[in-house]
Amino acid sequence: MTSSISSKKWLVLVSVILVCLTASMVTANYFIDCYGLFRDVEGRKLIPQDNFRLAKYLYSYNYIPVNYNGILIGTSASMNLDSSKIVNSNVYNLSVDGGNISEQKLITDIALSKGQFKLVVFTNHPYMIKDFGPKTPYMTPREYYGALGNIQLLKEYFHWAAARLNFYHNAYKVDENGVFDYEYLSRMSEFQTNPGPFSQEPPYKSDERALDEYKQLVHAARSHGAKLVVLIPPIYSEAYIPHKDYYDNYFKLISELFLPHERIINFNLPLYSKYTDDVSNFQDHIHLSRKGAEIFSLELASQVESLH
Amino acid sequence: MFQQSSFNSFEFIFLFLPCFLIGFNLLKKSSNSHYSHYWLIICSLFFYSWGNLSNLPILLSSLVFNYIIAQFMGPFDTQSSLRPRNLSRKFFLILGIVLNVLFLSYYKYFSYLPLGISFFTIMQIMYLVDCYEGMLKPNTLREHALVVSFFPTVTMGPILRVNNVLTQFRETVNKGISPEQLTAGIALFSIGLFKKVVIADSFSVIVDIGYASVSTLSMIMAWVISLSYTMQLYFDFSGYSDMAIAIAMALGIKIPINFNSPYKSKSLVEFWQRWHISLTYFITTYIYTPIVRSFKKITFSKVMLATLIAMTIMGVWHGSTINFIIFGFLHGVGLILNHYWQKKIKIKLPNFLAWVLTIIYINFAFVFFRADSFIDAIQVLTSMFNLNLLTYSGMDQLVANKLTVPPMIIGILLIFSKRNSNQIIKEFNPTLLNLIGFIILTIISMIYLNSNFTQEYIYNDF
Repeated sequence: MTSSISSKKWLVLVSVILVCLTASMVTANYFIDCYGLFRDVEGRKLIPQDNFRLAKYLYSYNYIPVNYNGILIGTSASMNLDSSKIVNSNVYNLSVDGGNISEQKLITDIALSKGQFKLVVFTNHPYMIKDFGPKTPYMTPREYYGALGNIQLLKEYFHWAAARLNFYHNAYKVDENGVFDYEYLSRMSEFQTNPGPFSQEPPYKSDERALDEYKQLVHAARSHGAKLVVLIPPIYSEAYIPHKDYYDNYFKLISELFLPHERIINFNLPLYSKYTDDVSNFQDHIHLSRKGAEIFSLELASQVESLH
Repeated sequence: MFQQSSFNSFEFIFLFLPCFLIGFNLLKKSSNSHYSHYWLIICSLFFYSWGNLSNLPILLSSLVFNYIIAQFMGPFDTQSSLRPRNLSRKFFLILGIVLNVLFLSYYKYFSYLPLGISFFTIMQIMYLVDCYEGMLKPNTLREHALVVSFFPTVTMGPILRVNNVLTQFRETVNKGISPEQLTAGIALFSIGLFKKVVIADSFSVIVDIGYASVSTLSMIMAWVISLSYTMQLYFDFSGYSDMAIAIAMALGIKIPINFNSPYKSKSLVEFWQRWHISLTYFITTYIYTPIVRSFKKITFSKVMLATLIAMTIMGVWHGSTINFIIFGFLHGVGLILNHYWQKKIKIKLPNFLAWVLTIIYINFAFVFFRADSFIDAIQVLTSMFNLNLLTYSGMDQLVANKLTVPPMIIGILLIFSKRNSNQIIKEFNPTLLNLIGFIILTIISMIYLNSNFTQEYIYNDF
């Protein structure tokens, strides 16, 4: 191993081995096709393991357009709503933890350009338009070819292995429909034991550019021919009531972007107060517990199904 | 497809570089050996304008201007036919230097920053001074363009002395690329690439997070991010320098090393002999020495004053903000203390203590180099010594970015390794063992390069 070889031989060996190793790595990743980009993806069930933002971004190229005819876009407030409860449509939950409209637009624009969707559910929380621009560097076309071998892919494999070895102790699981089923037990138990006090300050200020992107996205989805539904996610009533005017103004602002025949489902109406008053349906003032997610997922499904 | 010219891109490594090397080698064997030089100039200009064509006229105008000034100055011992008899060589030297400094200052401080302008401008100031001193004859335009636009060094150095490189181009004009040169060049390039895309860019993740929220730093995190930046800067810039030296090496051109294990230094004087060596050479020879010479009587305090002025100019060369001026000034003060200790106090510190003090001082100065504002720098430095902030807050960033931790540990180990990249290549002998090592480095670098992880070079901004 330590004896000298000629420079020519060294160069040839390096070139051959590097080409072979790179080709093997790319081929393996191509066939594993973690994000459903390169091969036939119909009927596959892809589950994000590590970077959900990136995974949902890359799924929008092929996996979602091929396997789904509806999408639900939103923030963490909707990421555990079980879109599979909607039985007459096949809806993928594109909600992103901490996501804003810029990120949702990046993902949705690709999905709309690649597939044919008959339903787009816009989950609508002020967090969505409080800021502008992607929050991470991952949602770029460069990641497409990154899926043939890069650090994110390596992390995806690590997390896949860790999940198989039950390192996460069922703290969360994500399904093939993009639903992030989770409960942060300590935070939830703290909240449910002693909810509040809640800030008297209005939670978020809207960003004009973000609102503009929201308009563009609504327009794009409508032009695509999809049926649009607006979902106003439930807020724990004790947190909602002090800011009722703020929330109502915000919902009015967003509702004006939609046409009269487009359904608006507002889970903060008195009709749903028996659920929004019940602290056990929440992990904190906005994020639903598993129990709450089950209730509101079923309610969402029944409302959407009634459209047909 | 084309972003700003950079060694750490697939387009450069797999498209530009092989095409250039094949063409260069073929043309070297052709009947007119100057064809290879023209090919190198064309490729260099293409590389330089890659992704931003508007930079090209700036490089070309600087290059032609300095060529003309040198022609007017003429050779040391003969009268230039272009120079009017009533104008001295010194007049053209001063004119050249002043206009170069104004040119650099305008773009650096009042306009957008063209790539590499700080490097190719001071390289040409050195050229004019060397011409004036009679150390070389004015170049032909082809030769001048060949050296100034030389793509391995045009954007970020090392800052070359024209004469050294030109002599080598002349000597190797009819020689093709040898497998020995290519092997060593490829090996060094892979080390440089690893240093940049794996180690430096891993440090940058924590650095960027920390410097974006300086007001909330705990004491531990303030130390972590400041030291991480110290490491990032070294691996970023020395990685680039390794790649530049490697490409030149493959062409049979030996360019001077820019880094020589600077973080092993046990004094600030030693640090500047090991850090950004080509800049230190420029500062010492072309700024410090003339200042010292200008004094009628040389005393210790006057020499120290010259040091302080030269180092502050070095800071200003990096940028016009107060932070860069403080960075240069701090190094000036540090060097004065260092000389004073060595020459007046004469107590030898234990090696370890000397090393720790040096690293800490360098680290402080780099806080000013990195921080977005003076206030931010003070905030970081305050947090580093605020015992009330002795918490683990922010350490979750290291956990959240755990994949960056192994490269950071490798980086720290490399700082203390027995041999640096220059020494490894100096003794490089192709074996199966280093072949395996090289392949591992390259594969890891490729994986990182294909990630959205890679950052621009820090010195691209200077």
